[in-house]
Amino acid sequence: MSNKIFFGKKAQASDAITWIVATLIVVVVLGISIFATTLMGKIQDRKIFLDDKQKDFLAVKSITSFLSNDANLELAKNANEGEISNFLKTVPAKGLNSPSGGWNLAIEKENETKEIATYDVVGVDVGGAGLPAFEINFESKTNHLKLKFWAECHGKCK
Amino acid sequence: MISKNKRGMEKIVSIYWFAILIIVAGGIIYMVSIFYGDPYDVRAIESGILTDNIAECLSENGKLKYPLDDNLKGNFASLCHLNLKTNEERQEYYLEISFYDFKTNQKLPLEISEGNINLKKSNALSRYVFFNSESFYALDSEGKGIITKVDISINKDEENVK
Repeated sequence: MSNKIFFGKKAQASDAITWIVATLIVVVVLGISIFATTLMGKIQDRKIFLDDKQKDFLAVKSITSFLSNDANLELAKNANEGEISNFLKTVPAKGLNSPSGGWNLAIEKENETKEIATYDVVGVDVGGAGLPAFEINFESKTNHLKLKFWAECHGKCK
Repeated sequence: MISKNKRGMEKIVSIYWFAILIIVAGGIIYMVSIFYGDPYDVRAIESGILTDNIAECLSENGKLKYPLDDNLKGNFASLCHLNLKTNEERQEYYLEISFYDFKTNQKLPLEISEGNINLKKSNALSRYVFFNSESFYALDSEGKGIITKVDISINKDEENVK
């Protein structure tokens, strides 16, 4: 009889230990998960940006304003690299909108595309071809001029 | 005797089972609340929209829509249909617009400001105030290049910051 009781208790103890160990494992795994989540919650960027920043409203407004001046448009028609690229280069210096990868400006004139200005912010690699271009058509009496102006972004434009 | 023990054992097991369920469920709820519970900071988008609206209001077809005079300064909010009031008593926005000559970089005398002056970058006491500055180019009535600089401060820390 005493043997019976002894064996029964042994079985109970081993079952309880299994559950205690299982609980401990669950607690440890949960603890690690909570710790990882807390870390991720701290490092994640809570700021929200719009994905579609290749067409920056202010930048487009600026460049169209710049080229709405007859004298400046004349520079574009003649594909005067110096003056227009000068304008684009002054964009970040003067606090005008500029994406991290820089802006590209190309002028198509008589089926000939001439990239007159591509500038990039120091330290940012500007490569990626084939990005969708924002096109503005400038039609004058004498020339048909197509201006492509787009942001160069890798991943998201912020 | 043995069957009684088994019944007791089942009770202990079910208690453990519920304890583990509660721990796991609690842990998952806690993790989700940590990850998604903090507010998202949308003030960058908010200030961008505000700046776009101001640019749309001030510049039309590449030219400044209004002459840069005191009339614009006095009636800016109504001309641009801006309402910076919020549900809170204190004003949560401040905006300042300044104009510069593109060629000389010289600041023009006209400066427009609206909203809570305490949120101005130089005055703001709270480190949670969001600042944004954007500029755009437009021509004045004489065809001169003008840079319009729009500085925006948004408080709304309770809605956007942990």
